[in-house]
Amino acid sequence: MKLSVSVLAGLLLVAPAAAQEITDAQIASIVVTANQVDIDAGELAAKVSTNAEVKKFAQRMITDHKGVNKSAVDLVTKLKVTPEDNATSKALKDGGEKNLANLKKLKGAEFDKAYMDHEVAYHTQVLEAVDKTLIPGAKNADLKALLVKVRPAFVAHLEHAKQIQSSLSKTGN
Amino acid sequence: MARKLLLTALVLLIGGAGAGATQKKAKPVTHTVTIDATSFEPASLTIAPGDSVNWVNKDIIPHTATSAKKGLFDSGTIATGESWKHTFKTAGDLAYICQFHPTMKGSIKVKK
Repeated sequence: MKLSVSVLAGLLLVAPAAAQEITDAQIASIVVTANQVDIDAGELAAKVSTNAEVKKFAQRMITDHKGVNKSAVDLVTKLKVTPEDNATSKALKDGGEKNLANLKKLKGAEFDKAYMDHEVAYHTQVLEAVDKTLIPGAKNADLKALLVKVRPAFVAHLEHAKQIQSSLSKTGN
Repeated sequence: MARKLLLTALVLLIGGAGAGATQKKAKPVTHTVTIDATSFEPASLTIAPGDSVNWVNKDIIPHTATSAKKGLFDSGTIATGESWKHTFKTAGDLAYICQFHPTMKGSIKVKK
């Protein structure tokens, strides 16, 4: 089982010290990219997985991350902020592509395990970035409020992903 | 004889009215549960039998209000900006969840 190391590394690039230097434009790019990565993985899993729980979870990832992205894009459009690509958003995008490439080689139980393992690791790292860098670094009050509002959804995703990951390991499926 | 009847009727009327006044028949109330930031607010709500609960989704993602015990109540998808109302007729302690986010929990306590 290979976790996408680069996505994790990319998120770890967002060190706590960087919170002061990050701009709202960079935060916007990180948020939109992070959501899109999970939408893409979810769309693949919804198609490929034959496990009902994994499929349902994947559908939820698609719906929720699209919802968050819509709100994020609406807000930055209203604020006239243009998302600015940066090292973190690029690392997220690269990591996402590597994860997809890996998943596309798999099927059945192996696919489910790899997908769910990545979802757990990914949501853990995204939450850490949200807590340590994005929320503290956001200058605009509405952007900060959106991040705060969305955080518990990511926590719920992580908790649900861990439940599924655990049940997959029990059934050996 | 007619006077006696009239008096009796009056006593019954007044007595009846008096009895009616002490019997408090509360009007059914609609309570609101706000769904926001992936949680139900309030998470725990006490209501009277006959009252309704209106779940309002102010979050940016869809949710449901689904009884933990199967078949009691299920809103189905409540989209952003939408709401769903249910009337609770029987007393009881009803746990519920969001079907999409199963760690999201609430309860309705229906108390006489």
